[in-house]
Amino acid sequence: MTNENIGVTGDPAGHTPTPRDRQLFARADLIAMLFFLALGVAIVISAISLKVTNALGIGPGMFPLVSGGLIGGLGLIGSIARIRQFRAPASSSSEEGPAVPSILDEGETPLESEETFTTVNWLRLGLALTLVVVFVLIVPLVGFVLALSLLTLGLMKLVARRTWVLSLVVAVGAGALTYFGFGVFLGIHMTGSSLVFFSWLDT
Amino acid sequence: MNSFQGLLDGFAVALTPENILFALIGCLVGMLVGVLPGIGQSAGMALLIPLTYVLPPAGAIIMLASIFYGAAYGGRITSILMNIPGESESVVTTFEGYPMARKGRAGIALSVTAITSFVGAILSVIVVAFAALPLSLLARYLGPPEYFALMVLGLCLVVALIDKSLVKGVLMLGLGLFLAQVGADPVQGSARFSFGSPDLLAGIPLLAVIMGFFGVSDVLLAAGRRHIPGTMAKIDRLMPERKDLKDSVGSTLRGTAIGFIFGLIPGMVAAVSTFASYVTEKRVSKHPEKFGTGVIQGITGPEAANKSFEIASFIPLFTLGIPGSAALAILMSAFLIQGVTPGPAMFTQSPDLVWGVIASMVVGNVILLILNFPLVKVWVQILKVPSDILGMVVIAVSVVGIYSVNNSLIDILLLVLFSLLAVMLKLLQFPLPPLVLAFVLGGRIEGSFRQTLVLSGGNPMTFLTHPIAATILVIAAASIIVLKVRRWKPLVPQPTTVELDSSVNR
Repeated sequence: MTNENIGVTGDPAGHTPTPRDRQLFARADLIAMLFFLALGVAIVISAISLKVTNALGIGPGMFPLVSGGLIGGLGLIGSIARIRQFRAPASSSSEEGPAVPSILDEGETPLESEETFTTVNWLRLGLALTLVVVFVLIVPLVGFVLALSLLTLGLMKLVARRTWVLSLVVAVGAGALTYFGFGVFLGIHMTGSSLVFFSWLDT
Repeated sequence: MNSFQGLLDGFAVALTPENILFALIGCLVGMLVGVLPGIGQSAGMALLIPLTYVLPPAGAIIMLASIFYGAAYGGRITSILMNIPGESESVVTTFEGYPMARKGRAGIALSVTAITSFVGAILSVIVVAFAALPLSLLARYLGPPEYFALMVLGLCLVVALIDKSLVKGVLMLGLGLFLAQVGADPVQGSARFSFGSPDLLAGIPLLAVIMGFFGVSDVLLAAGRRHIPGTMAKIDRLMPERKDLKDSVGSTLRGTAIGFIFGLIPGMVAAVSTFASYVTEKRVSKHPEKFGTGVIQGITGPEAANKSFEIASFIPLFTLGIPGSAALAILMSAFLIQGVTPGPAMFTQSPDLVWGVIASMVVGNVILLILNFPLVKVWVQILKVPSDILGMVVIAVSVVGIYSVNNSLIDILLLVLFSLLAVMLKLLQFPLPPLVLAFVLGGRIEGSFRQTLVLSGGNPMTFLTHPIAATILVIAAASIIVLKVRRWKPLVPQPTTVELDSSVNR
């Protein structure tokens, strides 16, 4: 049988986590837990100011109090678990993993078959999200259709790093699809340009 | 109206040219997202949700439902040909499917699994058609306390069954509930966490949450993956021999039954049913030692289970209004967008829609079976398109889609925010299905809880004095205790277990 070799998107399972992956994971996990602890406390404080009970039984603050309590309480538990792990003997942070059992990892094989912080291309990810934010900012100026074409061009050229020709083809295609598909065919109104020069693209 | 009459009326809806076209589009998109590793059915459904605002209700739901069950057809293609499962539930298919492909039987593996998937799906649709209506009639006797308890049970099962930590699962549940509370209080109208923004007073848009957590974030993570070489088995012949079909009959029927039973449980993931089917086939086999070398029953049983699971999981949604997975939560949101609340009343309030969707499952599976053979080579070609190009197109489509709903640029910024949050949460192994389910059900949970307390004069013990509600709440607590509260394991590396988490692909 003749098999065909092709390139495919890497399966995250193909990445073997390194000790650095585990270290980064544990640190980021602690930061996340502390964030949830702070978020939970903020929600609880806001919930109390919304009134937890009233004449009808429970007030608008009751459910936020419950969800804030859950988030903050579990953030606290998670933070303590991670801090205990960090304070474990040095040998526990070796490649074989810490000896302190963690409730954050029960029921799973940590960092196996998963993406890790080192497998993600943060530059591309940040660029993609920044381009979307820039897109939002320029829509009132150039109109939605042209802004979308520019967004697609930026994504193709800067994030996917394709040739100018291919990037332009995809960008023009995306703009045309948006204009005709959404604007003309589906009749969806899209923000027009504040510049008269681009007003012919308004839907 | 009885079930038979309802199903006939449903076919009248499903067989209009317009709805056949929507089913066809849904099947194609479903197979595509199933084929592409990293972009699952939830992402595919999320990306097309904006279209449902402008489509007729039946067509919109039929299209999304077709994506839901079409993904399972696509997932098995890469499992068999490349040993890469497109969906978590297709992992089992690699165990016997890839060895079959290496023996030069890739085409037969593909065709036999297409046929068994079809049989499993059709048998399940028949049961759904005749069981859903009686179950929905029973469900009408349930009041606010029972509904509250059922939704709590659904959330508990999602947390308990996902192969992630309990702490992180419940934390995501709390976050989902919190996001659902942003906006005006449903009873008194007081602003909650809206920070004075009129946009947020209407609540966080569902699409921003769904597309951020499942669509764009999946693409962003996939864009950073390494491009690894894969070997694709060549397809020589597609038509199975009579012996192959004969060998598959028992496993298909067993897989269908297993998948159906698991599908009825809200929160269950399809991968559990496919594993259960594989294990069953190995146990009943006269030659269990041959498993792993390309035994046909090892793919036909799990594939039938997979399809049967998907179809059966519509029952909790249609009869109780409880989505059992993130993908079904997205489908539920499409119903809500169309002004239809899934639940027992749906059979009387929107009979054409619900029966049309059930009948469309037959139509959709026929389309999938027919498309399976000619399209295999097309999917193989699509797999050669670099994923980063597809990803960039998906981001652009998401931006247009989310904007088209409210013409709001704030929604796009929320999409960016949630996408970034989702990337971080996925990297930190937080399960996302509990978050999305809690977000979708949050308003209804709060509503039924507050209704119950108003009816009982503010007595919280009322949940325990209603026997059905109390029983369901006990089961919910037991599910967490039995499935999650167990001996803590150290962080030492262990043999890789198959990931049953559905946060990416479901």
